[in-house]
Amino acid sequence: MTLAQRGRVWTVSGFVLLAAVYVRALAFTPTERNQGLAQKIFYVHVPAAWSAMLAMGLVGLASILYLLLKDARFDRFAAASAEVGTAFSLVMLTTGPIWARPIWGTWWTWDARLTLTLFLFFLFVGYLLLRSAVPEQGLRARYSAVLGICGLVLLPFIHLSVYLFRTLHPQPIVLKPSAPSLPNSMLITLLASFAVFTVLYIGMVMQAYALVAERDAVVA
Amino acid sequence: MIILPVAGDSLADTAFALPDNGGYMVAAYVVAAVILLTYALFLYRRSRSL
Repeated sequence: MTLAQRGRVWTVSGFVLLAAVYVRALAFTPTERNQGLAQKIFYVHVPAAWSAMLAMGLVGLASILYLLLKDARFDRFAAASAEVGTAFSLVMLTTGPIWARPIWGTWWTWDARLTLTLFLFFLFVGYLLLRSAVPEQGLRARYSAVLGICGLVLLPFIHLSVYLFRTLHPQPIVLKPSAPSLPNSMLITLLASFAVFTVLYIGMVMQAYALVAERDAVVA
Repeated sequence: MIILPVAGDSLADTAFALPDNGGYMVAAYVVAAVILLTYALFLYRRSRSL
C-alpha cells in the first residue's frame, strides 16, 4: 500500500470518527446554560485551532531540521503540513466568528488572539505562495524554512495572548497549568474531537506528502 | 416598578430558558464539514494515481 493510499484510509477513518463526534456533541453532550447551543461550536473550533497550531509547530520543527540536516524529506513534510494547516486554520477562522456573533454580538473584533490567529492563516498562505513562486528546489526549501520558523515563533504568542493582552477571547480551559475547567461529559467530547482532528491531520498530511514527493521526483 | 419572576409565571420560564442560537451551531458544524470534505476531495483528486 502506498503512502497516499494509507493517507486515504486515515482520512476516511477520520471522517467516520468525525461523524461520531458530531453525534456525541449534538445529542449526548449537555448544553451549557448561559451560551446555549452555540457553545457546542467549541467542539469543532478548538480542535481545528489545535490542528492548525500543530501543523504550524511541525512546519517550524521540520524547517529547523531541514536547515540543520539538509534532508529534503523535512522540507516535503513542512510543505505538506502547511497545506493541511491552511485548511484547519480556515475552519478555525470561520467557526470562531459564527460562535462570536451570538455570544459577543459581533462577528469579529481586532483583539490580540483573533488578530494573531489571522496572522497564522496569512503565514500559511504566504508559505504556500512562496513555495509556488520559487522554482529552484534548494532555494525554495531554504526560504520557506525561514518562514516556517517564523510561524513556529508565533505559536507561543497566540497561546499566551489571552494572558498578555486584554482580550475578549475565553482563556484556555484544557491547556493550562491547573485541571481542565469542564464537566467530564464535555471534556470527553472535546478530547475525542481533538483525537479525531489529529487523525484527519495525519491522513491529509500523508496524502499531501506523497503529492509533494511525486512533484519533486518529476522535477528531478 | 420591578417585576420579579415567580415560579409558574412565563417570566420565570424565560429567565432560565436557553438562548435561541441553535442556528449558529448548525452553521458552524456545516461550514467545518464542508471545508474539510472539500479539501479531502481536492487531495483525493490530485493523489488518485499515486
